[in-house]
Amino acid sequence: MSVRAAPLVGAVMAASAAVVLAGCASSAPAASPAPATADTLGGAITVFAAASLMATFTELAADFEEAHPATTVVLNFAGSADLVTQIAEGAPADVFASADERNMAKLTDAGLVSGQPVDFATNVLEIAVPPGNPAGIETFADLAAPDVKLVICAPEVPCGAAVITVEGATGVTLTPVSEESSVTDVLGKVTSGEADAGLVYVTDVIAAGDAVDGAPFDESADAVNTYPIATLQDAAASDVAAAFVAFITGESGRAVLAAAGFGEP
Amino acid sequence: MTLTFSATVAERGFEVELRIETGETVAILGPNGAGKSTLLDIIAGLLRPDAGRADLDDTALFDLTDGRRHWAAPHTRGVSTLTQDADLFPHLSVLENVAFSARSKGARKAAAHEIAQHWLGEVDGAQFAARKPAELSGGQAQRVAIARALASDPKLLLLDEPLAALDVAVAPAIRRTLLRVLGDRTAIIVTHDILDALTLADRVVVLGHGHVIEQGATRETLDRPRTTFTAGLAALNLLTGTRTSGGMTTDSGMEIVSTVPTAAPLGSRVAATIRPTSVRVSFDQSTQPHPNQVTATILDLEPRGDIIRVRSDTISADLTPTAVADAQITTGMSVEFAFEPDAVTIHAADAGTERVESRRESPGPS
Amino acid sequence: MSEPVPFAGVPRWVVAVAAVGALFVLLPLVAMLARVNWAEFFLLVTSESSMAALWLSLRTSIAATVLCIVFGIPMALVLARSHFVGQRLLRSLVLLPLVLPPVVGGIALLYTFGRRGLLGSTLEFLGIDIAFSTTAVIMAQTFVALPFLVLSLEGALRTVGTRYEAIGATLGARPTTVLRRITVPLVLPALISGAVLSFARALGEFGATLTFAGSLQGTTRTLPLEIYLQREVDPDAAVALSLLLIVVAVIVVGLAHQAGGAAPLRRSARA
Repeated sequence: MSVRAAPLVGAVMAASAAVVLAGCASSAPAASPAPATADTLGGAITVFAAASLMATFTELAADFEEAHPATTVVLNFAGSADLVTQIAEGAPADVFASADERNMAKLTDAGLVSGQPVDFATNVLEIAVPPGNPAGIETFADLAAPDVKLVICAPEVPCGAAVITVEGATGVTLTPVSEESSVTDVLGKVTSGEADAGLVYVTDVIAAGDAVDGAPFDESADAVNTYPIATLQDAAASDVAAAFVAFITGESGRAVLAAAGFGEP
Repeated sequence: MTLTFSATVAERGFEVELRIETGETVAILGPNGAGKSTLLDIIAGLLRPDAGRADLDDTALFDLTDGRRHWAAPHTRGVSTLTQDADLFPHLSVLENVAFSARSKGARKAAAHEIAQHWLGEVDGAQFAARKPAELSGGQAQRVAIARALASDPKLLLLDEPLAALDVAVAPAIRRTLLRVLGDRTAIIVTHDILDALTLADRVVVLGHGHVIEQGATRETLDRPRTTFTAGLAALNLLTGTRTSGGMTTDSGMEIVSTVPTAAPLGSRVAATIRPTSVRVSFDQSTQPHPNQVTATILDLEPRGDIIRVRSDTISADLTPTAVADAQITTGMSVEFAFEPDAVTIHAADAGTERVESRRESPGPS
Repeated sequence: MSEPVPFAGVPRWVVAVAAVGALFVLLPLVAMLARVNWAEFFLLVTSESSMAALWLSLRTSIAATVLCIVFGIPMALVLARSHFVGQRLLRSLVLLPLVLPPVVGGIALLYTFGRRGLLGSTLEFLGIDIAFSTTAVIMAQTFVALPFLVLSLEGALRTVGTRYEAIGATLGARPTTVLRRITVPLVLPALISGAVLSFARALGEFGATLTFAGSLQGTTRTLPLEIYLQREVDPDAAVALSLLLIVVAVIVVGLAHQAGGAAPLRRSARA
């Protein structure tokens, strides 16, 4: 594939993946570098972030742009695995924030990461139930009851892997009625009332507001998902990218993430 | 199987009443648009009239009089139709086509095929029992269609212009077949060809503009038409008037001389028929009116097979194309139509005979 | 001697444009073939989850196609041969699943048959539980595939006309007999090609299944859903399964063209 074709192919793949996963997507052409002056940062960067980071990163990106008026942050949200595929196929990205270490590792192994990834947040599972908790779920073990309609993520995705870990740690074997490919779909089944309970992240329960009730469980601490962030090899405005990563991992980033329910890295 | 029928369809200007006796074959004659197909569709149950009633023997086909709404479905009426285009079921073999009715009514395959073979034999169609309709010629397909209709053992058979789509060379054979199989059946045959009526029908009913113009025994009606309408269908010229010693005087005052004997008394009302083939056309512009000579303007030159019918408002003449070309006859010309005394047949007119008036044309520049 | 090619009058540039269009459709297939890990292809395609997904897809698509035929024939007949007020509107609505995004279709099905849906309490009362079941998959597939059959058949019914039915009736056949022995055989090619298209559509159905039925191996995870999931971990498996789906679809569409291309039934030829 020629150098010229790569961004085009990448853009097409970015668009199609975004449509499929019903996440917001916007792709931008390669950044046009501007000289970084001592106190003002300028330029545009593209940030690929996991879907579970949508609300927090949107807010943080706006804050970042306010702090550095000459910068523009373009965001692309999707499932971590999809984002990895896009980046590997040449999509133009400057920063990558993943929902788990395994996906970040794919990029590091491929030599597409500049420097070392930094952990910036953690997430744990929580039980989500329809408002009023019609099935009366209290503990993790309740989820294994035969007449409970439980929906979880499939093991192939980060939140599903976490479920497997908790199952192992607690010794409880779950028999879900559906194993979805994304947390959004799990949440959707709970909010529509089809499922009696679902296993999603703490941050999802908070974000869903009144649509679901949450039931935290102690064993969730056994499966902690760590979120790493890194700048990418091909980043055009590498100084803006580095500044953004620092912003996320810094105080303001932590505050916003904590408010949304994320844990300390 | 006696049929009594009466129906109106306001939208088509259709209002017909008729009666057909058991074993009769009745021909419905009339030009296109006269209502012939409407009549058949109503009897078959495929078209619903606004009002009317029909009974076949003791079964009511429909009764829409006095607010009643009885309408027997087509498959219960025992009325089968034969159409112009055979319309054999394309996906079934010839034998299965003919066997269709028996099998649909519950007969076992073997029994139905036996019946089918019998009727195919009746129409000389046994040799293509295994073929598909697409492999048949028009005449062959029509034979099979006849067999199919007869195999359904209908109480009444309707034939809708059965020979109209056939080659001139093929039609006579099919006509003979029909003559044979229609023998003792009750049937209605719709046609615009009087040869069909003359060959196959006991009676004719003349339809025009949705109404019955006249009806009667075939030869009687076609040889002695009582209306110019029927006369036109029968390819005859018709003039009405009063009997004189030499022949007759028409209602418009023309003198007609006839040497054909007639029993009509002097002074009685009579009608004269003259075949168009016996009428000559000339440009004799003598001012004196002669008997057996009519001056008229040509309205139309109608090709009919290998002759051309020269029509005026009063009288028509059949000429060969050569004659028309040689004489350079065209529409709008004023010409003389003349005929011999032995070409005029005079017969008594009855109360139903139309009064034929014609305008006197005076010769002059045309 | 081969038959002489009749004059068709197609401008040369039209052929060029057509070639571009064809390439647009074919090149992605070629690209996929190039990415397949042929060494592991057989293993990937015959894994437990792959076979479960394929088997489930075939079972549900066939069931959905049968339902499409059972309901589609009457629908096509009514739309083609009856006259009633609002017929045009009904026709447009019945064809709606064709243009609706499948996910929207799934949501609509959920709002109808789900626990909290329009018929939810009735179904619960009757003890019928549709969500997360194979039944839900079949329903989703039927929903999106039905218009294909109805459309194909309705067109054929209009073209064939009703004169054969009329003759059948006058020969004494009851309406059901006429339907069985005349109407359906006459439109059989269109019925077959419509059914095959419905099957292909059901086989590839994704969005409505995902939203309405969920995803569980062996119960609701059809081949498209399996591919969607494999993308997360094993792109090689995803590509291999995609190829499998393409092959099945190509075979199916090829059959459709064979059946639908049967020469239209002709009436008696020469007069």
